[in-house]
Amino acid sequence: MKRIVGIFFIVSILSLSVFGQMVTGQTATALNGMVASASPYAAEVGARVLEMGGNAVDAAVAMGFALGVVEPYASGPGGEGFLVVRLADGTTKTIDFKSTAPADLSLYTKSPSNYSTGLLSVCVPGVVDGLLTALEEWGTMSREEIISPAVKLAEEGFILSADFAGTLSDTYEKILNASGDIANVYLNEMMLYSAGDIFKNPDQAVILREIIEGGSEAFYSGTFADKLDAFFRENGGAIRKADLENYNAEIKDAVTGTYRGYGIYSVPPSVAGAQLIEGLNILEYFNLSAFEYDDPMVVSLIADALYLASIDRRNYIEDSDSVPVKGLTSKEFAKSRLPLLTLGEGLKRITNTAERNKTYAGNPLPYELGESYVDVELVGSAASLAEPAYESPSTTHYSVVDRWGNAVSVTQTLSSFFGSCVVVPETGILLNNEWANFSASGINKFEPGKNPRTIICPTIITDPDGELFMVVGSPGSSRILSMITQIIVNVIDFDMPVTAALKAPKTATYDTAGDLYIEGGYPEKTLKALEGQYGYKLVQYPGIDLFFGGANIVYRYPDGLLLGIGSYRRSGGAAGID
Amino acid sequence: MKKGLFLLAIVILLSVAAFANEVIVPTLSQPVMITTAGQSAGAAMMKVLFTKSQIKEFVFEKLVTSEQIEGYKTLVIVAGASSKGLGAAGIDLDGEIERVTTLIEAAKEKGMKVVVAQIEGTARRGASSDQLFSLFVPYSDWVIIVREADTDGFFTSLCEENGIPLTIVEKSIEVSAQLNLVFE
Repeated sequence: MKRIVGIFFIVSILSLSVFGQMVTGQTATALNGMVASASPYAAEVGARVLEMGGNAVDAAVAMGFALGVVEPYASGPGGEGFLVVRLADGTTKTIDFKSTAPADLSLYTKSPSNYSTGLLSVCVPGVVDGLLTALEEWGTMSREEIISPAVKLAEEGFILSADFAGTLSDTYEKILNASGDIANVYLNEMMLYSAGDIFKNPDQAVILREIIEGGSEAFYSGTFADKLDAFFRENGGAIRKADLENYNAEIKDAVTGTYRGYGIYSVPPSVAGAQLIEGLNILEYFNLSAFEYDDPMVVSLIADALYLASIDRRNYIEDSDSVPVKGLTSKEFAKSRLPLLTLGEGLKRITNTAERNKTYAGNPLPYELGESYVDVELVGSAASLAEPAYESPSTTHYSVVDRWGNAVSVTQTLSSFFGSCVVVPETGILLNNEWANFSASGINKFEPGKNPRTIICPTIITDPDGELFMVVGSPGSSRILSMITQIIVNVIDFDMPVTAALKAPKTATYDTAGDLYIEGGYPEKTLKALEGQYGYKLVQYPGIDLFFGGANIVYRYPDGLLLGIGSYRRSGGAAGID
Repeated sequence: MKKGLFLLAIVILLSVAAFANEVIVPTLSQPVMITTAGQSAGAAMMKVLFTKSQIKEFVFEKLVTSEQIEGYKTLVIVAGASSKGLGAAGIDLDGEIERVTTLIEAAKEKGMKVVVAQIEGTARRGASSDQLFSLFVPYSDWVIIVREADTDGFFTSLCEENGIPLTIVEKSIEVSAQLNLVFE
């Protein structure tokens, strides 16, 4: 025993001397690696991996599995996501692990928005294959080293956070009425757990152990797949074991752009990287730094740039290789959107889709070929029009940078908090409700194997010298782009410290919203001008609010010091190695 | 068995000890109308607790109005403000206060007993929730809460000031046993 203690002591000392000491907090600074996530537990798991000598991908994958245990209502093995990795040598790739429609769609007789919970709301989950693809491609550690912390949390339990308890409370009746095992897993004798209670999920631990043993195949062809198949067959679900066996996460190129010389590396369709870049491209033509962040003209410009970008997203972004990404992210296309913006008045929000497209839709197609703005005849495009997507408030994001300069940005989701409210019996795994993100018609219409368009947007930013600058992303459904854009603008244009950039109140806007959502904290005169002069219908929140998203960021100072910030809007945590 | 009876006796004694003014918990009658004040999950939990109890005649209506309580003997109001719940119900806090105030007035006119409950602990102890308790507890015949909701003595003081019998349970699941004790 003494010998074991002695070895442990020596290993600890070596660990401290070689890899540094862990620092944790809602914000933390360190030189040798940093992670930030919506859960302090997951942040600590990631930092421990960095401490053990793992790289950013190892840490991110460990955090992804841990988040599925400690924040299961927002993401997990039954969900989906997108990952951006930028290696220290500048190589940047993404992994698309979006969920997909099953092969047999005969049970879907209504519009997708009718399937917001229950078995028919579930798409084939991608998280396990996505994370393990990243680990195999760029990781250095074993599945056992990476997934064991999540197993331990599921088996031994963890202290339930106020966010977890609050989300449970908000979903209580849905859970009570749902099929499968969800009430047994997430309720305590059919009552709500409270913040501070210990929560365990032993069934999930068993499935995670099988993934350690057998990798992705164990999840998509093993016990979980068998139990899901049987449960879905018996209870009217569409997914079958064959759908799981056919699932494959895909490595894809990042969508890239620039904003005032900073490099933007984000995610390709069917998610929102191109929309983020389009919005930033529009804003680049305005000298925002001559104003304050809370100037009504600035608030209006950002809101309207994002409004236009969100209209273009709905008309052009889908799960397809034919999306005009080059056109959407072209600076010349952004110029074509400028005539719509008036500095003294906000764009009138139009809730009717056809009218909105007739008035505001852009046409990025000519810019695919590199056409210049002056050479293109501007015409209103009314491409395939889709119905409004279901807007959910959930999802989670985490950011990682290691001591070598590798960076990973991941957003995972179940779509809504608690997803479909379906837990496959004896697995502990909560399934997504991504189906409602499909459209009944148009480019986002459901098809076998297709994934639904969503708005997650994990992103990595480099400074004008090409050095890593910031790893950023956020939950928040349609508010994600507003949150990320305003953080970028606050830091780059208004030279705010990152902590202030996150804390500053935000607005949120998107195509299907008739109102401008606005957090408390803006001066009264700004609110008056936005309502009076600019004509926005404001929906005011008393303070900063999770509705607007909850960005988790790692920021790199020019001297290499890393700052991690766990979301202020969702009790997040950062942990680093100093 | 003896041990069980002994524990039950202690629970009852502790309950009784919580009534600073020795106010007596009234005997309550069925049928029961359960509703919420603030649209949090507590009222749905209360429905589950009634299901687990020996009480058989109860109905749960989130937005029950004074016209809908005819024939009921007891009104159970589980209070707790939830912005999401209010939004989902299409009502704001002021509207909810008006609804429940009117409901209590009607219940009193009809001779119904009114119970106010807080079974969600600290999760429903913000300013809006406290406003609801301050408004409705004085009109109640019995208040039942979980201990976590009273760490600052808010309910103890409020009930003492208004002479309302207060029962404190450790966990929400224990409410069912208390219901069995007070309902005929």
